[in-house]
Amino acid sequence: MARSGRPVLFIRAVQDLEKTKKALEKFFPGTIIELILFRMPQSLCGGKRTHSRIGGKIVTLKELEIGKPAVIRAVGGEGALRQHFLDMGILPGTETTVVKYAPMGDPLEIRLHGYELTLRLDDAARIEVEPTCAKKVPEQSEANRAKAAHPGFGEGGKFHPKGSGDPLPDGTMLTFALVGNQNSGKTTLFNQLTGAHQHVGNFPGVTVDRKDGAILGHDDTSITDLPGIYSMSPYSSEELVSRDFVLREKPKAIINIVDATNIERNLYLTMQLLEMDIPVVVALNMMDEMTGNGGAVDVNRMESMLGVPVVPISAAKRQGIDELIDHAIHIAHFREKPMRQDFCDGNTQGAVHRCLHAVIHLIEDHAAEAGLPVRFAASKAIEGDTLILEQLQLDENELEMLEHITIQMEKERGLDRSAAMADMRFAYIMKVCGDCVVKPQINREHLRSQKIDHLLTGKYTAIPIFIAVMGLVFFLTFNVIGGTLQEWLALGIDKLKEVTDAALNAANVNPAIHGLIVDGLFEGVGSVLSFLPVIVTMFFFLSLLEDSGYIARVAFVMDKLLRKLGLSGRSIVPMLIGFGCTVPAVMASRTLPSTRDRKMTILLTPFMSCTAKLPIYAFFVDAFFSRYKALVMVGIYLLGIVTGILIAFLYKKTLFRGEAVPFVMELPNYRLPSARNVAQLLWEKAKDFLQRAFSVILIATLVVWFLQSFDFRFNIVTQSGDSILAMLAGVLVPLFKPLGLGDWRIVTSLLCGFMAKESVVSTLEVLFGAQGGVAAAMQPAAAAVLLAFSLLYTPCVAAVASVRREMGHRWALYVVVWQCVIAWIVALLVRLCCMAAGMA
Amino acid sequence: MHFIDIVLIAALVLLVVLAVRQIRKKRGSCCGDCASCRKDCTRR
Repeated sequence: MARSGRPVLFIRAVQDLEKTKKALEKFFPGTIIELILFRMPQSLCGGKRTHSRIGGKIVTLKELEIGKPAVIRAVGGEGALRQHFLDMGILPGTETTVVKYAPMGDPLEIRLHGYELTLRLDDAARIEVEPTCAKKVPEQSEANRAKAAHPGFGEGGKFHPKGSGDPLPDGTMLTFALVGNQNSGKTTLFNQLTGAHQHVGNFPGVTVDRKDGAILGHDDTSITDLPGIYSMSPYSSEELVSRDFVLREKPKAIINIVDATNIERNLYLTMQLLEMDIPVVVALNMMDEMTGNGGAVDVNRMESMLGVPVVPISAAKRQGIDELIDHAIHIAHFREKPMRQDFCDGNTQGAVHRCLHAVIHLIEDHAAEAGLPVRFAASKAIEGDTLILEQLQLDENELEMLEHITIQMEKERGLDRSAAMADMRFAYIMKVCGDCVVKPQINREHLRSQKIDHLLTGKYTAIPIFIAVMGLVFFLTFNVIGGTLQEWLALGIDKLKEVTDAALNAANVNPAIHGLIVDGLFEGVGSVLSFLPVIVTMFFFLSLLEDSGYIARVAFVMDKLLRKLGLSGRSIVPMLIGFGCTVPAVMASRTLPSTRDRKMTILLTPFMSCTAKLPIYAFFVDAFFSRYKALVMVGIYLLGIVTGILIAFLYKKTLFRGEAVPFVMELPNYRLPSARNVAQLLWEKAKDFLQRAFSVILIATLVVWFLQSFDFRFNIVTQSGDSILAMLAGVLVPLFKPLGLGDWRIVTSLLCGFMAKESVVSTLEVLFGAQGGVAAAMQPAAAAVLLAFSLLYTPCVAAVASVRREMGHRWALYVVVWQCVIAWIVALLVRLCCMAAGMA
Repeated sequence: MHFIDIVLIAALVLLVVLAVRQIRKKRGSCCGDCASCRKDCTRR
């Protein structure tokens, strides 16, 4: 009741006064309703969440016009996704702009903290923003600042007198964790530090597993390259790998790689790493790009503000690496922990500061018992991290007390717990950046990326360009480059075979050994080897797409389409890799944040025909459909994709009901693929193929030759139908009869294909060699059916093993059986079509 | 059996032994369990 005697009702966050008035009149009939708009004091409405700000209308991010600047006022949603939003810097008070929409209208790309992020419209609708006028960025200059003294962290003789400190005993293995945001250059730095040749790419999430190595020249060190993470709140499974490594394996020091061109968001993880109470050295990567664009970092000042050594580097150009190694070894050896962990003072009214320290006192004993760094555990407990709360094992009273302290902080701070904690970290980051960083006025790489994106992600150009790019890749792989080189190599191998044959005849070698070498080794391994150029060419183009940053754009463009199948745009990355090899494709699915999406993507990758199947296609297409080579090749790939789409629909309605997880992904700048990196990848793939040819395929060829040359009494057979192999494979022949493939030799080749897909060709060559080759013994219809079956049946043993590692035994068995069933059905349909067309 | 046959058989046996060793040495990244690991990782 107000002083005037009239009843007063406060309603929070009214956006449409007229609508509210009508609703109230309906609710209180006969009452005169008068609405007065109040701007509530900050203490009541939560600081930045002033919804009825004068001159600004609160809208959702979804409704914000392209290019119009706005300030985020509230971040909706819940759980891990909301935490991920906050960790990515989507915080109340942050300025943002909508850059563009994907060609199909969803998702959208926003710019904040100097980087680009993609979000779906449904998620953007949960973020409230207030359009503002563009703020003029104050011109920063390095010259305006007083020079900061070098604090000398991580250096002998400065931080502590030489020869003193708290060193580890001599001979202790110094373990390092290489931690940083996705696509910040961790693997490039790892390769520089260890001399390894791990694959790097230009899209978020290339590294999905930890990799270890020793720092060059320091055998008593072990450095672990971890998957990229945005914060210590795990959002996807590979992020959990990184967090668990730091928490459980307790490395002697952390090398935190920070992308200097995107420093604000990268320092968010640094803030959390400093709480881990482990020595940290910050490697400011891409400093060459930063300074090249006119930017600068006051490293000395940043070092004193963060309390850890900061080393500017360029991992790609090997600049600053030696200094980084010196600092890293020093802090690990002398156990120099961060000098500063308390970043919460100076926060609004100190509410977060008081809350954090109260919780630190509350859980101190539990954190020590659980082996968790106390400040980290306290901040995670406040955020409500269930994994950490489980480890802390707080009793009921303590949990209640924690909740009361947190609620009081929320009330005083005016933000919910997660937002308040994220805001606290970002507030300090802004202070650090304000004091130490001169941002470049123009980022040439970004401007170039924007221009390229106009075309590659343009509304009317994106999808035609994607189809054209993929078409060109296949055309160049199978026809122009790969195909031509393959023909030359095949000619060379044939020549060598003729020479060997003649030499063996001249030397009067035993017929059995002669047969093994000429009909076994040359027919089997030789025929597979000739496909090396096609495979290398395919990987060459896939690596160009990966390294340039285009794959991330494909995910952005295709998200809406994939959502209809129940998948997220990020699933396109493993699937495109699947065209190269199913094994890395299955592993790449770890970047997907939900188990449902991950499982579904893994089960669909075998439908993307891998390069190991190329020899089968090329072999049959050359033999039976040489006039329509390109058409049949494209048809095979399309058959795989279409079947995959149909199965995805089936999965969506049965095994994996529900919606795909939100699409939150960073779009990296386009970069020119490094010749060294591409050459390295091609060498690795060629080496891998040759090793397979001379290991699995060689053994399979020899076994097949032996089994088809001898009977059960180990006598050489004159008719291969009397051989051991014919007897064994004969058991499965009835299953293949309805497909028109009721020949034991075809069944045998398919069985060998389980070991390595290329073995299908080598086995067929060995078994049909005596009858004048496969072309003479089979009809085109049977070849078409066999092609369809080979395309879809069980992936090779290496791929099944990677499925087992990611999903377990049952799913691996399911993949084997289910793929065979699908292959059988599709092959039968192909046969029926051939019969209808009069081919069979 | 001629001398050349014996040489060829020995060469084939050597080839098979090397192939089997190659198969056993599974390639991949470090799983951390170095004591029982047979992977060809950067640590070796």
